[in-house]
Amino acid sequence: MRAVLFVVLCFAVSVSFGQKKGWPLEGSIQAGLLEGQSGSAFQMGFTGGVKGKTWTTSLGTGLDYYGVRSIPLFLQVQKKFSTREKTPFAFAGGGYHFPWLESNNEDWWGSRKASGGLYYSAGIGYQLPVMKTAALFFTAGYSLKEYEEDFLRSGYCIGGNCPTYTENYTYKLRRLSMTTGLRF
Amino acid sequence: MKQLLRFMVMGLSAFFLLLMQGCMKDSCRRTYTLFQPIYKSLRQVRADMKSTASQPLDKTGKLNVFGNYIFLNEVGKGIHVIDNSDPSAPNNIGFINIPNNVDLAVKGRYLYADSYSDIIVFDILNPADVRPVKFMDNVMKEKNVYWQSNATNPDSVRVVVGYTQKDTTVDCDTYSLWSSCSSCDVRSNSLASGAFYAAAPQVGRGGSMASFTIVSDYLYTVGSASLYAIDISQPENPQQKAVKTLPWGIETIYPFQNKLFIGSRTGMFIYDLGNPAAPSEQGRFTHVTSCDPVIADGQYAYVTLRSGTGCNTTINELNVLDVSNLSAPVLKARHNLNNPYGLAKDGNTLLVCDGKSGLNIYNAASPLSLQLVKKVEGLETYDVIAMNGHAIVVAKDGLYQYNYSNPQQPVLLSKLPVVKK
Repeated sequence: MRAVLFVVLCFAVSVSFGQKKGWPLEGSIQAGLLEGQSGSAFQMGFTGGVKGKTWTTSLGTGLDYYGVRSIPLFLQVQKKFSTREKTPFAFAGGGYHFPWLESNNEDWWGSRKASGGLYYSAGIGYQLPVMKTAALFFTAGYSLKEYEEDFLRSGYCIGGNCPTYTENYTYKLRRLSMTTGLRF
Repeated sequence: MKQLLRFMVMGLSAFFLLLMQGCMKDSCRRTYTLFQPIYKSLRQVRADMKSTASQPLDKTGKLNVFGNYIFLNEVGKGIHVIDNSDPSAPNNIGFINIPNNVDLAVKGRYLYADSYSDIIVFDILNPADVRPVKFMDNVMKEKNVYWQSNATNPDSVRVVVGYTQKDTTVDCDTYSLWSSCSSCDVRSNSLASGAFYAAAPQVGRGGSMASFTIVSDYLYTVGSASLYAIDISQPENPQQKAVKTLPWGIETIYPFQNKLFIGSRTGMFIYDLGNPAAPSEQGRFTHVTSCDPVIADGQYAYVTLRSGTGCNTTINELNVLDVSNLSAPVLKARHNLNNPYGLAKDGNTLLVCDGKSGLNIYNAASPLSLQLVKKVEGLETYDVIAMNGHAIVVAKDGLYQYNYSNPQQPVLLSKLPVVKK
């Protein structure tokens, strides 16, 4: 439910952002699939930024369900290859993602602390006009997110001072990213 | 347009190259501590089980009070001997090395302590010079780690006395292969389990977290699923008499009026000592899975249930049970707490260790409607022994002593602090 609310909010912000008349602003909302060794996962996001003739620099966020649910926050640069409405483009961006765990952090033997990490993506796309002020676009690219888990383990003992030890897992999740969305 | 097409072709080529390379493979690295054991022969280990110079407290555990002395377990390492002739100035006079020691009990001039699955009898006539007089091999078999099937000679038994530690990072897949390798000489840091106790004249008094207790001429201990009865009528030559199998999750044992109250993760068991060599179950009370020491005072038993690592519950409360019919204990009252551990009752005063919330002192004149009269804060409490207005409290940062003759205004007599290395 929270995820749906998040999508609705993103959509509203993106549309209103991109439709500020007279301002060199551009917003987009997109959704798609991530495909990698761990299987397929849903992703969605939105961006809002400043556009030039063919360049756009945006801040973006969204939801990324690959491996571990997380919220990326990134800076993205996009280059359109013409000024026409139908045009291919390339993009690259990077930032940080914040894990949004779906289960609590306690298990029988200890606790888990999840940390986010580097997040980046790059790819190419194509856009075409669909309404007066909007364009439909498709992208394909590569994306990586890093993720860390620290497990604090404690063996079975009654005492108040049970010895503990930690284990750390560092993941690099490499995915193919395909999205479609609307740009305003 | 040609430029755009070239771009598209290059982009798609790069895209498919990515697909074919390791660039599309997830990676996982696992960092953990590799513990490699340091061994000594059991004979060498036992030669070191005696009094040594006093050591500062580090990880406080179980305690047992006998006369003017406090025997305080240092978790996994041994026992501190504390001269408590003056409770306002306890004197740490020595330390008994006992690898993997968790529990202890005292009767007369003898101290009984565990070391892995063995039980050792120490002569404590001179508390400054404690010496072992008897080693009972592999009594509590569920704690056994070094006795092999036919081993009897302490020279041939290897005991882990420590570990060298090395932080190691490997691929997660590689780790799985290692951990399933039975011939690899690698052990995880196995952690001892344990608990604590209480009793009468000539017998030291322990806390409610005990898993050792002495009643008359018998030492009773509990393992995670067993009750052991050991005849100590000849203290220098104890004889194991019975092993009773209990449900898994046994934690504590508390003696009261020829009965044993056994706390477990699933409930409380009452054992009758009509035949002390073979205790028999008389009643039980089942509760949600949680960690729970128990004490009793006649008509009522008091059980604390707590959450936490390994306890598998979110419940933190004190249960008051009517045990007037020992065969069918009945829950009569519940009191919410934060994270309760050990407890003790002295007359109409009930003291409950509530973890990080400190020590709760209740007026228990009406056990079904306990009145909180004082909350002593600022210490993380684990267990308490209470007698005649004097409380000895094991806390994470040291051993505290209070005079609670006036329960509303307990007076701190002393603190023997934990000294972190």
